[in-house]
Parts: sequence; structure tokens; C-alpha cells
Amino acid sequence: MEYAVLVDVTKCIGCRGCQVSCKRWNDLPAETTTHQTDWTNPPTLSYDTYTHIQFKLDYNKSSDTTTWRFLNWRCMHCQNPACLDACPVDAIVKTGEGAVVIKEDRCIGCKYCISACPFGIPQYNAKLEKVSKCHMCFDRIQDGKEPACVQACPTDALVFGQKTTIIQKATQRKTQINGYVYGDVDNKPLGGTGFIYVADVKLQTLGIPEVSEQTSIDIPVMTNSKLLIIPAIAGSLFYLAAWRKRRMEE
Amino acid sequence: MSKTKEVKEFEYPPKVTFSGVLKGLWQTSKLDVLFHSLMAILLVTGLAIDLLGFVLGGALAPVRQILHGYLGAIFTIIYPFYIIKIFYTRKIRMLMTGINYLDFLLYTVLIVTGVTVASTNQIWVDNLPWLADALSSLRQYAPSIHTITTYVWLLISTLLPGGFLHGIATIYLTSIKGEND
Repeated sequence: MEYAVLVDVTKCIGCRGCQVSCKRWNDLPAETTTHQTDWTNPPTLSYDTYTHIQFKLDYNKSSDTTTWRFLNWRCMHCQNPACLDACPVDAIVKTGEGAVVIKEDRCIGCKYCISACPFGIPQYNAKLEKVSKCHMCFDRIQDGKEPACVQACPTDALVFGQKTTIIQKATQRKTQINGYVYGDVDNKPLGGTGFIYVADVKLQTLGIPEVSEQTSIDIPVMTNSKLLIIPAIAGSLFYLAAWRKRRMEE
Repeated sequence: MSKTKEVKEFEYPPKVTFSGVLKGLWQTSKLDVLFHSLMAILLVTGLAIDLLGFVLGGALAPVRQILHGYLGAIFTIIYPFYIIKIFYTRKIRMLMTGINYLDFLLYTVLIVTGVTVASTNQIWVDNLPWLADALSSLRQYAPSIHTITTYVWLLISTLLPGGFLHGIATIYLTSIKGEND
């Protein structure tokens, strides 16, 4: 059964409870950060930070008002993940529950997934030569629990459930607030996402990139390009046979 | 009294042996030995990662890191010197075909995309902002271009005799044991 998480931007208060619970559940070390003018802290995702809250200050010139919005940001757990297709060693899998998981023991640190992900999610550790990202707490889900970030959210800005139910909730909420959905309703980036956003503004204005429904064409071309080795080997064998024949004749 | 110098009978075509090729290449140019050895290692390790990755998985990590990564970095450093040598040595230039020049173009693509992949999310590139800027636009497509170019090069340089066929020919000829081997 496939699950999803609804991220209601209008309910998030930026408490960073999801960040802390993610660190606790995954036993991730804290990071030394610097003060940023936009308050996002840590400023970016990293090998040791799977999720963080992006602080977005929106200034409306006509009404001279400012509005804070807080965006929970981590792996989108796409239906057709580009990172999975790009991985040459099958270190990335999509579980039956919908989570996209990196198997660290198989990861060779080639960083192909980093280049492939249109959301810029996978993070590389140069010392360990490995890549990591949010795994949607697949271990908790398989144990009948909700992801750690969802459990910690005090305002129900994060809601976990079956994907069909979450899509319904997202659609209802969109109507309630006359807002926008990003993920699996109005548009389906990479076939749809496991984290579905609802906000009172277009999500693209908060920095979520426009991503097409299909994986970038270069990835399937790359995975199929290995077929070119067949004519190359055939050609080599042909030449070898020709050389041998000529040698035998000599 | 005049001395007659004994001249060993010369055989044509000469017997090409593995040890003979290596000795000759080493005596003629150490840069050539380095270039060809690294190229062979990079090609074999690259193909191993791409073709056997689904079986070998994490066991390929040191192969990717050391044999493909660090040796790739050394190859990147010596490559310009090799190219300069090629263009400044008349004898070698006379042996070059159009496909060989195409090979060099594809090696250059492989080097640029390889460096781009290596620079993704790496700390060392933070110290070289000009390089990070230069490679940033290529970053998304670098892995695909790197992989596709490898197979395209394999195909082109086999069917239209180029670098790969030259490698195959060398292996074939040196695999035939000579009398002096």
C-alpha cells in the first residue's frame, strides 16, 4: 500500500520540530551553522540533515505587508524517481510504501543521483564517499508508525496517510483556502510525489522548481546507451576473426 | 685483416611480443605508457561500474573512488601534456587518422564531464568558485554525457578504426607468443 504526506504550508509555524525529530530518529549529528538573514537553519540540506524548514518572507508592495511562510523541505519521494534511474549500482529503491530509499552499503558515491534529481535533494559526504537523503522513515512505516517528522508536528502541518486519502485531503484543503497544490493533483512532477504540498500561493513562488512529469530525456538515453556495446563487441570480434584468417593464410 | 660483422637475420614483419611492445614503449616514451595504461584502467573500471554495478553494488566503491576517481584525476593532469606531445611530434602526427582526432575530442568530453561529476557537492570545488561556476550549467547532464560518450566512443573507434580497435589490435598481436618472448 502506498503512503504519502500532506504538507500544509498555511499551518506550519516554523518550529523546526520536524527537523529535530528527524535528527533524533536517524541519530544524525548536529551541525555547526552560521546565522542567516533568512533564518533558515541549517541553510541547506546536507548528508546529516535530511529535512529542514525554509523560512520565506513575502513582502506585498501594494498592501505594504509581510507574510512569513515556512516550507518543510526534503526528498519528494517521486513516483518515477530520476535518482533511481540514474544510479548505476541499483543502490536506490522505491519501497512498496512509496519511500525512495538509498541503500548506503550499495552506494559507491558516484553522485549520478545528485545530478539527476531536479529538486537537488541527495547530499554527498566527501569523507565517507556516500550519498544520503530522507527515506520517509520507511522503517517506521513498515512498523505501522508514521514518519518521525509527521509525529513531531504540533500543528498538523504534516499529515501522513494512504496516498489516495492524502490526495483527497489536499484537494479539499486547496478548495478551503482557495490555494494551490503541488505534487499529485494539479501537476505530477516525475509521475507524482510522496510529499504533496498545499499553500495559499503558488509553490513555485516559494522556490519549489517546475518539474515535468517525465524524467529528463538524457537519463533513459544514458541507461540504454550501454546497448551500443553490442555492435562494438561484434565489430571487435569481426576484426579479430579477419586478422586471424589473414594470419592463417600467411 | 678485415673483420666481418655478423648481422642477425632480420625478419619482416617483426615478431611483436608483449614484452617487446612494453619495453619499446617504455624506452620511447614514459608518457605514452602512462597515458595508455590509465586509459585502459579507466575504460575497464568505468564499464565494470556501469555493466556490473547491479551485481557488485557497494564492492565497486573503491574501484570508483581509487581506480576510476584518483587515477582519472591523474589522467586529467597528464592528458594536456600528451596532446601537446602528439601535436609537436611529426612522426606521431603522420600516423594519426581522422578518427584518432575524433577520439581525442571524445576523451576531452569525457574529461570535462568527469571533472564536473567529481565536483558535484564536493568541498574542494568550493575553493575554486570560477570552476564551480563554469561547470554548474553542465552539472545536470554531465553523468549522462559521460556515460553516453563512452559507449559512442567505443562504437565509433571500433567500427571506424580508432583508439579502441588500436587497443584490441595491440592485445591480439601481443597475445601471439613470439620466439623471443
